[in-house]
Amino acid sequence: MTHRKRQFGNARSSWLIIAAVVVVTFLGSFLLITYLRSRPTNPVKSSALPDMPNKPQPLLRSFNGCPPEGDGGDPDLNRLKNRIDEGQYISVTFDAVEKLEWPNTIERRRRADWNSGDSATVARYEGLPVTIEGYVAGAREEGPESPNCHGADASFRDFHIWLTRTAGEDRTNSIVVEMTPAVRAQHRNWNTELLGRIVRDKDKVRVSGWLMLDPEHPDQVGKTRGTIWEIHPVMRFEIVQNGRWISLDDFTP
Amino acid sequence: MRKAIALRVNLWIEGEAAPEHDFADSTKQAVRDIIAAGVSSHPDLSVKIRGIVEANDTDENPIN
Repeated sequence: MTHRKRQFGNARSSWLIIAAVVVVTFLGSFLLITYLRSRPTNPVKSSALPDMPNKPQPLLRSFNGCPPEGDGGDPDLNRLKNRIDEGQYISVTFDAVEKLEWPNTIERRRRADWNSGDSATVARYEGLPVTIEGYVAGAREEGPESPNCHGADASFRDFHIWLTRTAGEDRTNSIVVEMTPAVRAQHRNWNTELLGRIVRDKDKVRVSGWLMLDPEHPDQVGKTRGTIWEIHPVMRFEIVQNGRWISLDDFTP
Repeated sequence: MRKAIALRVNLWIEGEAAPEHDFADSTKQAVRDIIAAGVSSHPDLSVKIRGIVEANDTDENPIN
């Protein structure tokens, strides 16, 4: 009798242990799923650029008297550089832009002189609103240029920024992203001093803007840049502070 | 002896013009005119302009 009671007691203990394990497993799974669903995540990045047959048309406006087509050079290229509209940015990988090819027959040629096949090839991706993440390898204020009507004042200058995949990397495989005068005028913190600090501190950044092919610098590919595809103009510039992305305008060093 | 040299000159030019005025085009012509006008001061030299292009140093070393 006592032996039977003990057996019954052992069996009941076993069932209780199994039940406890099941309950703990179930609760653990539930809590894990709840946590994974609630934690902040970045948008999924695409390793390939999306097709967007109907891209937003650039919004153009003169800036301090300088028309969107500039004062010479390639007016079609200048109009792309001088757009000021925001987009619904698509997060893509650094490589999706850096590895994107272009027809070499367009190099150093005005858009009006491109053949229709080349124009169509470039148009497939040009004008995409994209976001990429990376690190700033360097930045500089440019000299007077045709898109900015060769304005002598510093307010008419582009900021040329080299973005790299990893921190501390040289510019060989960089993507050039450019802040333009009209957009820069809307952002109090877009200045070379702060960009210089970001370079030195090797902060991770997130850049959003319009994908554009600049055919003027193919000789620099593999030297001071990895591609002639650029994000130009940059419309948003964010930096990680206290574990979250904030606008450069809200950044307090 | 007969000597020759190729000089690369870096000029900074400023002036007033309408925003849409092609400043690169007109300043290139101005430089040609300025050199042509000054050549007569040095009759012993033969000066030929081989080309004038706008300096485009966008990919030079970053300042930061």
